Amino acid sequence: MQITYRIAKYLKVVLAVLLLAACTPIGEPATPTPAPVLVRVGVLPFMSNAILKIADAEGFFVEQGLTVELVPFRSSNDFVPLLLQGELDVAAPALTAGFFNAIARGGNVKIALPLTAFTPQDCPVVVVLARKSDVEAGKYASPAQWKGATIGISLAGAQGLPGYVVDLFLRQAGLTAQDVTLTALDPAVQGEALRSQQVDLLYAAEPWITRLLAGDDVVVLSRAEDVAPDLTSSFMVYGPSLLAEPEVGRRFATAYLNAVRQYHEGKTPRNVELVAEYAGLETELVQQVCWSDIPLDGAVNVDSIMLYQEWLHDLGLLDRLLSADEFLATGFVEVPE
Amino acid sequence: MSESALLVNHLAKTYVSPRGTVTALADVSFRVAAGEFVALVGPSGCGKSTLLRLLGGQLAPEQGAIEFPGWPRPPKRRLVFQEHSLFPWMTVLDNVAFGLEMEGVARQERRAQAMAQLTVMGLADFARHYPHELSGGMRQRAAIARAFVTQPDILLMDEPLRALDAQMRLVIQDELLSLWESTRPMVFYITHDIEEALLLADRVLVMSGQPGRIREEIPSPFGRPRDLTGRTHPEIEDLKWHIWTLLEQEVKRLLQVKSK
Amino acid sequence: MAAFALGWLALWELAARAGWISRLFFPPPTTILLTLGRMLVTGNLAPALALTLYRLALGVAIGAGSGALLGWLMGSSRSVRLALDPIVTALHPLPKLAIFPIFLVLLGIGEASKVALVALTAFFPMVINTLAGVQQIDTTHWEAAANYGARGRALLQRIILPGSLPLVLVGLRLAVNGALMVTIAVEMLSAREGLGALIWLAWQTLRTEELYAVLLVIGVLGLASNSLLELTSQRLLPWKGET
Repeated sequence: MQITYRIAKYLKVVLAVLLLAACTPIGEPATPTPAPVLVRVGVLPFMSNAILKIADAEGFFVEQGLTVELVPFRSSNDFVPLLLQGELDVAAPALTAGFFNAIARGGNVKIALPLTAFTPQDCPVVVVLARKSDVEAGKYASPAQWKGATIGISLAGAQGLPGYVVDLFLRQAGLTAQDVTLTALDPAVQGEALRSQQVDLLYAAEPWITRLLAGDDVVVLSRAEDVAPDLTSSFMVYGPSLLAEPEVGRRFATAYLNAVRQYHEGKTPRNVELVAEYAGLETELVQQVCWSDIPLDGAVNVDSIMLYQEWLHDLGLLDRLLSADEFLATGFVEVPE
Repeated sequence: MSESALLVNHLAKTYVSPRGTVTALADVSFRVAAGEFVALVGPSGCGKSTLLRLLGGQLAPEQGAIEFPGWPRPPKRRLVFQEHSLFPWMTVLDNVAFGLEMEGVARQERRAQAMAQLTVMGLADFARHYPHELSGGMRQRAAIARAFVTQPDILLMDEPLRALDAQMRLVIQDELLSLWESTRPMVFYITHDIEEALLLADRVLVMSGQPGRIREEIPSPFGRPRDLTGRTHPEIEDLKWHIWTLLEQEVKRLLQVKSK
Repeated sequence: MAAFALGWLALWELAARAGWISRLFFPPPTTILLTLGRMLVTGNLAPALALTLYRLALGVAIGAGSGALLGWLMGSSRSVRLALDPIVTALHPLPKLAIFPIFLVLLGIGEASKVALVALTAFFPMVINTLAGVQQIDTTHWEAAANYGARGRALLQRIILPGSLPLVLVGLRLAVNGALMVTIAVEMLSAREGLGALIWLAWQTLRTEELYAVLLVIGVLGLASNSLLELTSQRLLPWKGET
């Protein structure tokens, strides 16, 4: 009952945030405090977030003298407010208009590290799916044929990165969002919606792709990495506490990149075990699905963010366009020249 | 006594409840003449209300029979209740016209008849009012009007004036008698008040309870029209005393009072 | 009371402008009002309000209408009541939003599933209050009605419907209030238009002044619908006195 949880969670957090905000004025950062022993990280039950589990389980955080608490959430909707209020120190929020607007309005949150990226690999992590019967009948095969189609997308996605990626597909064929109907879908019902023809196309990510393809009546039409290669699609964002403590921020980044190195060893039994346990998925499925790339060098593709930001701005969702140094924190990662 | 219009023969009724079987009435028999005013007195739980509802056809007898030789088909029987029986969602006029409405009388006609009845009883000014806007006494008079306007053959009254004070009762008793005189339905009138029974009725049926039966039938010695204050009927004291001796033991038993 | 509310608003305004509280989460009331005005004049507030009202009205009409019918049926027939009462009692407390994914699968992702959930929310308070409305009709009134020859349709029209109406209207008020909450919640979950979707978007973009503006509209909507129902009650129940 993810949806119920989501709304209850949403209301609770809104209330909590409002109350907290009432008590703790933000604005000028507090006087420097000693390095936090405890770093609280908001995490989502997605496979990509298992990277934090790896860092935790393999002792990379402890190596850096950090005590890390992984605080589980169901959705990233409230990460930015919670970071701003100091309830969380690090999290990987979806990069919505809210993230940019929070900064534009004086909120002190910044992207510190890349999480996933659309690095071209031999398997896709984010795709548009169609019914096999339609494709065999010659429909939807190229984006130009998508005109008039109904595309299922996550609710938050339509005005976020998924909507942007869909827009990139459409642009390839000279279409715009006006040429299709975007329909908000909960992931739990997206397969059913596609099969029962409530939507014609489906924007989907792993592990749902593998699950849906197992039915043999669904096919992959387009891959995100073809249309937005090397776009950094999710990020680790630091809140005011870590931004004020560069030393702690650096240690966190180091531990994180150590975990990324282990992640890059691929589907080793240890990695599979940790990812499966973390995401609550069957080991077999974790071995089948395509794993997202997490950049080894800790480098963020700034150009891709700027383009995405412009898309949000064109939709009228942004207060203003930000410059890269407003949303990107540097100095936490030693990027090799 | 003239020809019997109503015959009650060996009537019996029992109720079955989880706590056991209660015999409400056992072997009740009596006969009533057309246009007769009969009062029923007796201690609480003696089956008076059960008898009234058997007569009204609300309940079916288990044994025995009720026959209506005075009428070619089953007579029209209408109930008047203790209090709060007017429908609160209808105006006084609609309440009074309700019986006629259910009989299929056209709207204009039934309203005219109901209005006439209210006018006779001096309630015309309150026709458009709702029951909650009336005093308890006026509500009971409207309830009586509702019954009379249907011109019932038999009027069944279940302690209609119980909730009213003594002065109001006196006035309404008087009104009731004059209404009765004008159309002469057969009346069954349940009351706890022995004096009221004697002053209103032609005959008083004294009942005893558990199981309910008729102890005695006492014809009223008073002529008509009646003096409802009782001042000109000195013999009423003896009759009251007589009925009380019939009821006393049972009432004390009900109240668990030790007899001396 | 009004003075207290105004004082509170003034304090909020001052605190927000002086920076004692976060303007990001507590924009000053004047900003909220200006935003509301801007959304009314130029924005998408009016169509969103219309769509939410449409979903609400349709859901309440279907849910409360069928709830009242079933309540009257259960009130009139002992066997129907005995058969359905346990089912109604068991289903009533289920959180309606928890059923939403099932509705999505059954009815699809369009309007039907949303309206159905609103209708379901309106249904239960209506059944329960209508049934209670029939059951609280005085025994004496049932007996009087029967004695004066009311049965069938006449009994329904003259006794059961008007006698149960006060509680039916209480049920309707509960139904509308519950339905409004669920309409907004469902729109937050899965709609791209409507007041709930505006709330969602305001939170997604962290434009909290828009969030508050929409909440204000919803508050006024609740106030208006309740006043309307109160007025309707007074019109339909002249016999209830001032109690």
